Amino acid sequence: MTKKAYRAFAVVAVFALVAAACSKKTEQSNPSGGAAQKIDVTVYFQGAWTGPYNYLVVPSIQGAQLRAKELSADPSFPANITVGTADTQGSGDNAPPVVQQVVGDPNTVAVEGPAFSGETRASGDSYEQAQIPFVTQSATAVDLAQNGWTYWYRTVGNDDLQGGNDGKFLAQVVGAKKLFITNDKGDYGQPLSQTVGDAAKAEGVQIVGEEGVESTDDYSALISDIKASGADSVFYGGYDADFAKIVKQGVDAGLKVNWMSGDGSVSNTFLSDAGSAEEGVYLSIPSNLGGDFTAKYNQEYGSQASSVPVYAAEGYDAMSVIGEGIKQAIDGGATTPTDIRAGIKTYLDSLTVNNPYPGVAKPIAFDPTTHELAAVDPNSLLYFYQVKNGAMSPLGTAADVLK
Amino acid sequence: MDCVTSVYHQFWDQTRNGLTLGAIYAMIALGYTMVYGVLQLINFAHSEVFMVSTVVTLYAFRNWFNISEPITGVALVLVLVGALIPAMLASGGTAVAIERLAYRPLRKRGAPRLSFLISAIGASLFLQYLFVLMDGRHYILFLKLPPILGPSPQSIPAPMKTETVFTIFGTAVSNKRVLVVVVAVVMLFVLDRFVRRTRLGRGIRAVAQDAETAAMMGVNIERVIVTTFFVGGIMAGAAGLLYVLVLGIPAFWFIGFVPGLKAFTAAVLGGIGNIRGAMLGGLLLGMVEAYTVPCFGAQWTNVVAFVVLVLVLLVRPTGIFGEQVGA
Repeated sequence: MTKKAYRAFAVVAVFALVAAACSKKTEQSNPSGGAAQKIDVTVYFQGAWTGPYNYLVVPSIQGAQLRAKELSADPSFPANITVGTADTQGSGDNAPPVVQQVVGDPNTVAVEGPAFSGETRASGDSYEQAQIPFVTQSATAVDLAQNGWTYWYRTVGNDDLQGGNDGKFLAQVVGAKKLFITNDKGDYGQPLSQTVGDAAKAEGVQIVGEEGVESTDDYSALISDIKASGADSVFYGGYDADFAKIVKQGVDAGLKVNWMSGDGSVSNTFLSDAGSAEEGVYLSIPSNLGGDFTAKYNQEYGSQASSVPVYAAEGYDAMSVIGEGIKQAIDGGATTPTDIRAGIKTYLDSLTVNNPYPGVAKPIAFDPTTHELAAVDPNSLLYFYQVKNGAMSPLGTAADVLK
Repeated sequence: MDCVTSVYHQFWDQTRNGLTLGAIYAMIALGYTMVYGVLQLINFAHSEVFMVSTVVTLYAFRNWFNISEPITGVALVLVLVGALIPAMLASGGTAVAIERLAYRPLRKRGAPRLSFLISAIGASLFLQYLFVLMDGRHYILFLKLPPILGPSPQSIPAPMKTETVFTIFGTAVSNKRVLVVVVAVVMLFVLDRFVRRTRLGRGIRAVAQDAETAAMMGVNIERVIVTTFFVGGIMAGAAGLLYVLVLGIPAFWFIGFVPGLKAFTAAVLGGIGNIRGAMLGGLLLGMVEAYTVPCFGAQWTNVVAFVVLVLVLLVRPTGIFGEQVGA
């Protein structure tokens, strides 16, 4: 190639990239039809639309889009909801410019998400300042409720609920005597595994080891250590791909223990990565994977549906309460996005344990001060699963199976 | 004291773990050290050369050989060789392409050292994100990128069943680990002979010692450089196959980062530019990491590994075996 040809090639390549980038930007669900007097509003979904962790978020995006489509098609619903793409790829580092875009859009009335806890920490102050309600369906870190954000709401149980119940579960159901605690040293995994360890200890389980290992490929050294500790059960606080490696390499090395992990490991990636080693593994997640909604979800998305629809029902419910807020705001006379935002907040604040919204996953109500998900029995919000025949088989909620 | 007893109890287990990992580090480390020997350049895109091989290996298992369950005997050997050769060629080809596109144009213009570093990081990021997009859904204009990584999640093909070959002091050693060490030793031996005994190997050593004089003596420098990148690439290629085979993990865009960093560390530990140093540096690093776990706990692995590196460099600034370029 000559120099000129090189340059021409470079120019074409740059154009190609720009064109590709631009064409992706307008990926929104904008259902046609609906009465002319409907108000157009945008609800952004913030989370990993793309990137290496998007499979943990796509089911809840699908749930949210399905609900937005239903509401917009409903003649009695006074608005057309566009689900806007706020794609952070799940990373807090990527969040600020994305949040800027959401806050700067005059049609924004609410945000569903952010999907992960890390990106929530990087986004919350901006939404709070802009007075935009943001309702997360899957960010479970405990500290999120301690920021004093009045516009933040959470429609799932947090990691303390999960960790405490997981510790009891290991003692009472799994029958652990010697427990080895490990985690990925991350913002999510480390506190979760510590809570599990504390709860198990309180139940009389001996903690024989506690180690954090940053995500890696070769866990053989850790596995030799677990083996030497004489543990009969292992809890891992972290994400699916790493947990799959640990279980697989552990079983491969002849380690015979009960394995357990939390919601970060509940995915079809865990099932496919761990292969046959996953049989019998225990998992917990504050999301109902097997409710009536799942059938509807599978019907809507067909081959695009995830076989482990994590937080799909929660994504649907979060859009439902936002939608109901929009309806009540507009019915109450709001016409501008600013007024609708305020109306949504008023509605969300009105949801109490005695007056919840009937969601498909569970009744949605919020604690009046922390805005955590509230329920008459909080233990009914955490679900246990065991892998049987390569699928997540439900064992019941914490309220069902624990003393 | 606790540390010593723990290491004592797990000595053979962790030695096995460390040897396996170290053998793989050593094979990757060669690429860093050979390129440094010839060009005094750290090829930071070498971790992606490794990544390409892991992807090709699993693609070959899954899409060419349709592996859904473990196989044995001659079929297994054919499948392994049938994946190994393309994986090595793909990695070698990637390394040569990086040299051609990211380094040679700079060399021709006599660019400063820093430009090579930036170019290396750029090549590394380019390859990583190219593979992120290779899930069969993305386009460059109208050209659909090949679905090499496939939409996640997919099952991980495992052609080889784990079986214990022998037991040493109560530690079971599996067939996969034996395979890793045997392949690594054979390849390291062949490479050592290649560099020391063949005409091209002599060329590599000559260029490493004094490029200008070598050129005057009739050594084709460009050819030596391309060979160096290619040979380093195929070593990383073999390492990539062994890595996904023994660990049973999926290939993904970032898989090369940690092994690449560790292998680079191993190369520095042994003495950058020194081929035998890289081999032993890799093994040493693998062992140190493995013994750290019973002693201090897994969370201290990287701390201890790098403390060892710093201590070694304080005593021997050019690495254990010295920066014996072209040896």
